[in-house]
Amino acid sequence: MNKPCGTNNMVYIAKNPHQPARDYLPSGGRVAGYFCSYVPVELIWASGFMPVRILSGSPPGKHCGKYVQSFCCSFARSLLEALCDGTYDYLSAIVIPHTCDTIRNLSDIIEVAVGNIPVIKLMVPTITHTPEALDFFTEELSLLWRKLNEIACSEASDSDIEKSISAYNKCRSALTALDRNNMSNSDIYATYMAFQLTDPVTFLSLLENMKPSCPVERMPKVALVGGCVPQFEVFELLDECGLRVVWDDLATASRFGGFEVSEKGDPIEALARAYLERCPCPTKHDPLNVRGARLVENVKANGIKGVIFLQQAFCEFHSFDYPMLKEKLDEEGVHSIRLDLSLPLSSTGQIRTRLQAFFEMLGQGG
Amino acid sequence: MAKKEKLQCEARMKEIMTSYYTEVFTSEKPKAWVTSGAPVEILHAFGVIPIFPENYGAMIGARKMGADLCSAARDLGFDDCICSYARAIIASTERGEGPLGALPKPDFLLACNNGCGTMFKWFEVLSRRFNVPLFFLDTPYAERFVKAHERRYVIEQIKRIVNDIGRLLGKKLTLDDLWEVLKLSSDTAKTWVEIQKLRRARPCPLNSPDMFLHMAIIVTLRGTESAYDYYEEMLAQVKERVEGGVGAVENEKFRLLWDHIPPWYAIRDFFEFCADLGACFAVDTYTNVWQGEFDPSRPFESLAECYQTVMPNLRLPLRSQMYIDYIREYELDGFVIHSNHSCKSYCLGEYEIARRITSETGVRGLIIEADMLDPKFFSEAQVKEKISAFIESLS
Repeated sequence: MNKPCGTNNMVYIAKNPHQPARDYLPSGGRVAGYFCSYVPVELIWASGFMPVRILSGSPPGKHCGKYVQSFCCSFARSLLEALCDGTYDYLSAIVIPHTCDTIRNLSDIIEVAVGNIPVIKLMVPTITHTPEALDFFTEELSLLWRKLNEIACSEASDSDIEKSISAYNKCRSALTALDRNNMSNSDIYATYMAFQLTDPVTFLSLLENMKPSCPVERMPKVALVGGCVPQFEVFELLDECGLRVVWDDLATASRFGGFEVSEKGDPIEALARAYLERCPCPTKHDPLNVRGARLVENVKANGIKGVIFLQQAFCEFHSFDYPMLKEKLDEEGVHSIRLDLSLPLSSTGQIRTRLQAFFEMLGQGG
Repeated sequence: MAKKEKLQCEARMKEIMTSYYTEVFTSEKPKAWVTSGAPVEILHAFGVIPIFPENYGAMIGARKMGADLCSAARDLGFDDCICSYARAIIASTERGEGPLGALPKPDFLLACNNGCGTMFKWFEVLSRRFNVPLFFLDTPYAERFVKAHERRYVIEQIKRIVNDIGRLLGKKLTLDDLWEVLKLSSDTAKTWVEIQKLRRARPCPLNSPDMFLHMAIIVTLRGTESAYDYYEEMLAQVKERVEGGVGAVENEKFRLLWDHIPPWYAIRDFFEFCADLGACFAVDTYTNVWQGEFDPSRPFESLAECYQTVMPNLRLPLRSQMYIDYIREYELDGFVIHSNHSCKSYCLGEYEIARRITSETGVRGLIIEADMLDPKFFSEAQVKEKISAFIESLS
């Protein structure tokens, strides 16, 4: 890519999310798209596809209007529109897991609406902590592996999966080690975005060349909580408003980039175990309220002054958890604000105003 | 054509439901809140009183208490994109309000996600608020052929749930107890299906609002003798109607399919409006969900088979085919799909189902937008305008 070095390259990718995939095609490479952080990218890469997370939506229009109602979340509507309007015409396969009801149903709809790209449906157990759930997911991943190889006409082996796991472990380890003291919010989250939009080899090479963008001034420390947040403008607004993100629980950032897969034993079982053992996202059963406890623990450990909930509009699962999480923060005297996002963002003015107000509140000893 | 009278058994149904709710509110027996698609047979076999918040949600809707309770839920932080049953019940619990007050606190909760993922999220909220355990059955979305590892997963969970409930209650479930309940539940479902099949008659003996009324017992009491006896009585009376040529709608001109839960706050008015235009809803997808037949000699396998493959848990092509079969089997002239704001699981895909029905059968349909419980998403004038134009177009 003829682009600037260092974090600017990550920002370039975040702002041009299709470029890495388009650059990958001329060499004969094939690209598979996937939804959600419960799809093991390691299997996609090992089967010979470059994995690309489907995050970049088109404004909802005639395509999605033909298939889903207006009360369907804007994230799903926008991605459906993009898959139908040719934005993702470079994909050779799409992997869609069962996460929320909307994405589950969307897997059937996309199969009809897109037509010419094979759709692989992956059942992810809603229960993540029992032996039977692990057995079930291991079996599902074996099926996914078989289907990917069929579509890729590949004869990849366990050893290819092991190599892929190792490469992704390196990526995740580097992401966890990012120096948030010397990076702006947009640089950090551009790096997470790039991780999901390039292959692990390219990503590691970009990371090696990355230089700290700027020392970060002392600013109120905040945490981000939510699902997928592909709207890169939000992170730029956080910089602009003087809020410094020191921890997050986002499906497109730490929840996907912050764990390690064991490199011992059966690789598919290791993947199933690692993906299920993470802190559950709101689409998964959380009987012990791990999410709430983890949020409070990290808020305390990182000296966080405020929490920003970034929620895709009409997301029922996150909406269910929000009152409980907010109550926990209130009990701890931690301020929070909720921003409902549309995809693509329709306007940044209101978000800027709300973030500015939040900054002022935190600055007043909040 | 003779004009419809109420079924004689309706009075009996009211007695049964009154007695059920009296027990719910006064009994000292252990109680569990349960989702409508969860294996309630296990609770009956343990001697636990099952309480169905969804059924109570329907009562809240029919008494037109939904708007107020949904608004109260918003004040608690639960916004409008959440299922209105969940919102209303959470608010009812918090404020102590409802048709009979708030439902009594349970000893535990039992949820299954075969209807939607909303169920376990809603019940997680309840579990935290009541500080009682939640037992949850996760049923993978079903293809035409259920895979062996899916079946194993569901069976193992059912066994775990039975053990966990037994440990909580200090009781061991005997297979004899479970067999008896499964047999009763199965026989009740067979009778319910037989009643549904009688709706193929012309004129149709039961309109959808009749079924929405009479389904209360199969939802809440399947697996008990009173439910079985009730539907046997109902079956006999519906047969008499068919033999006597008694239709549910005077001068039935059009036979339609109703898809989804009705808007409870408008149910009577809406269906009477359609009936006045000569339209009878001879099939409804929702009341056909309770069709589970079990093989008591394989209790856990049988429960797994039944509860994984209920209609809302089927992939889109299977659901579409089911609707197409109804159109043909019941010789329908049209279909009306309620696009229910509350229900992503059931509704996303409806546009495609509608296209497939029309493409396969030539029968046309109408999609109306509303909500089962929260009237703010229902525009009465607009819905009536649309339905009347649609029925007129069928002439």
